[in-house]
Amino acid sequence: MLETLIGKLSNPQEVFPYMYEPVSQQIIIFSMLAFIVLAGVAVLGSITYFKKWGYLWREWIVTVDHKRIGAMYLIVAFVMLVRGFADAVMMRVQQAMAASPSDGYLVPQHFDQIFTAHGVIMIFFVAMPLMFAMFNLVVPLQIGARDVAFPFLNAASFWLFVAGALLANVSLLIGDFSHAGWLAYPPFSEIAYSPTVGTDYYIWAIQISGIGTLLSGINFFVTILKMRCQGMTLMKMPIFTWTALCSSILVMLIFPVLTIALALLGLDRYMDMHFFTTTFGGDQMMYVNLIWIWGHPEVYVLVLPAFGIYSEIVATFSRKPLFGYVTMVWATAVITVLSFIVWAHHFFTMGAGADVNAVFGILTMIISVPTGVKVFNWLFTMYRGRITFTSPMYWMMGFFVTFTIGGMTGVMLAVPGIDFQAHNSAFLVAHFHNTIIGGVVFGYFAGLTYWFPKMFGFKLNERLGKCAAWCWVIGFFVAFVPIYIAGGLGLTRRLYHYDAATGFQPYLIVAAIGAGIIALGVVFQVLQIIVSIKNKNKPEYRDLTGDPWNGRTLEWATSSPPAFYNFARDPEVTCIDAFWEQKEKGLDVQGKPKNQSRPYHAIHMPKNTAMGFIIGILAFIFAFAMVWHIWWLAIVGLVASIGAIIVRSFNYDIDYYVPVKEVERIELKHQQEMTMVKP
Amino acid sequence: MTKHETHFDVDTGAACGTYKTYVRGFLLSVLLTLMAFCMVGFGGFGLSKAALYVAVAALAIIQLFVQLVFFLHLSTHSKSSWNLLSFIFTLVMVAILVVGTMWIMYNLYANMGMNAMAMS
Repeated sequence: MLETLIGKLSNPQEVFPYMYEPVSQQIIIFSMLAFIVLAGVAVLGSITYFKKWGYLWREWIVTVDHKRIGAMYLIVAFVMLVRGFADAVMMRVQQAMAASPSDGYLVPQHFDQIFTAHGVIMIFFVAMPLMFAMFNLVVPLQIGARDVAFPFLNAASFWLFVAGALLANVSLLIGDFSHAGWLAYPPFSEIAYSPTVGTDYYIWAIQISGIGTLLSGINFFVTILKMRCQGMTLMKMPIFTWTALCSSILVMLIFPVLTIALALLGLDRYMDMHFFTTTFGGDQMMYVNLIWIWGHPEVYVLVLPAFGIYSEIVATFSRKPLFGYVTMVWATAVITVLSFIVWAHHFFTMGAGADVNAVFGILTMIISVPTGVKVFNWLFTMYRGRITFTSPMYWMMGFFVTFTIGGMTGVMLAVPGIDFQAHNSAFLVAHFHNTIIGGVVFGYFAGLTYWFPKMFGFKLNERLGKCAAWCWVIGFFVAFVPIYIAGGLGLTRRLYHYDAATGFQPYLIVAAIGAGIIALGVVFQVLQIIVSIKNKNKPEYRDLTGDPWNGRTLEWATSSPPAFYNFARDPEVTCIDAFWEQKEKGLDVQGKPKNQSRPYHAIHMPKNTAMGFIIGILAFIFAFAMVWHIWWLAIVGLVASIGAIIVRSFNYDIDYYVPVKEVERIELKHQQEMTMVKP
Repeated sequence: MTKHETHFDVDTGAACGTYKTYVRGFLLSVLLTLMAFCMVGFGGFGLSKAALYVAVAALAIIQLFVQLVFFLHLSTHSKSSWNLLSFIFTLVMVAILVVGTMWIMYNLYANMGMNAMAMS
């Protein structure tokens, strides 16, 4: 009876597995629990104390404004970054300690969950939301649009993503998380070897947030193709928008594959099917093949927008148009297509013949050509430019050095013969951290610093930003060069414990120190945000002009932060660096003389709705019920969330017009602010 | 579809259907599905196994086109050619993934001494 009512929650051994573990593990779990409770009470308490619940609901939770949604993505991404980073530090400490006779301070089943959670969180719940934060904050502004094509869908995507992220974190305290690595290879992730709810948490967290990602991809694809301002042909689009377009195309094509692969694994686990088992004709190799059809393009989904960010930054801070705009666009397009035909290099050792491995090895090496084109374009943009070394440029310099090394080790691994030696070794771990930290993470940090004044109306502290960039770059090399070396010496990945005679320990101690230096960088970043918020009204922080960096593209043509309708008048452009051109000629966003006063028009905007939030909650309930086998609740959650979508689609009261008076009032205020700056 | 049955959105150039085209598409889809079910369900009308596979596959492909034309409004009309273009791109990508997968998996089976037919 109890089991029908609350499913597997009726079994305390499943719900609180850590209660049956050594005291040392319980101390870790309970100190974490104490931290979460304290932080939660502090946040909820201060919202109540300052009476901000109404504000939070009206201005944020029900919003469909792309800028607000972007800011929320950013906040969730940062919270998850801290969580994922804590996992990384725990792993580094464990490996630094665990030379025999010591077993380190973690039990194996915890170590397994930590490396799984680290990978899943960093890719799905840090890198992806950072990317969508940038898309949301920048793309509509860069193309001169009022919002994305489907504002409600955008909100729904965000709340689905939050539901997935929440599910991954609930597993900390209720049940366990997957033990099977970030891609959950069968047969280990099958019910026979992973009978706990951990893998189910993994599946549903990714499925729910994956639906959100797919919808966002569709949304930005349509937005970019259909909502560009007048005169902005495809080849006049800012380069970041180009990379966002290519990234959205990739998302639309690959996320269905991930959904299918995990759905088949779910069928194996829930309905006793045998897609990937070793018995009854199942084939786990097929899962590996499917997951990498998603997995390889996924890294390009993440890194292409980062390339776009670097392109915007290097042009702005070199005071030059981007070198080779057309080659940059084509390089992006070529990478988009090539990223689809290299996936087998993730499983050279699986057993396919030399033909397959040679073809995929060569294709993998070819992909470094368009990437190299990009690097040279950036270098030539800087060549003879008037470079200002702001903190976004510091991140970019760090990226140049780090990413180039990561790219070269990637070409090494693309040789199947070398890969047979390095497969599943720490060398591989060092390689992909080299490209993902050096390429993706530095890119989004650079973009964050660059666009922060646009989002919030004040700049971040430059000095602390530079300190953070130095710590990240130096910390990265201190942490990962020893891992490269140890990998070359034979250290395998995900190693819980090793013999002292292997000589790995000194390398792993240095790597742990490197993680400490990166942690210092994170501290600087947090300090940077706190210091900047404290001083936000001082003239050196406050951005009244809307154009703090002397930018080149349309997002700098509006106020910081932009009015909710973005542009009072629809922009019209004639060239690539449209805003630069308009500034040079003293024109406004429509290419008309600035002092000409023309009437405003009423602006058509979408209405806020709580439906996105409600769908997110219902999806969470459904997924949680599925994880714990509470079938009645799962049915209720599923029917209710589909019902919510149907109800929403019959609501025709979804838009309104901003009256001309309101537009005039907001624009006048901005103009007064701008005159305040002029000396 | 005759000309006056298809309408184009002014802003996007995307085609949208009418009540008539949706009903027509729906009936055609139902008919094609029923035909496939009947062929398998009622003993295959004396067709050989191979012929039955081909027939069902052919019906599926016809249905694919019915849905593309009547529900996704694919057409060669110049205003919605971007629609067709992205569809062709998707098809090419899917073909690469499917053919690549089959090549990898069959190569694997051959190389590892596994019988591919026994696996499926």
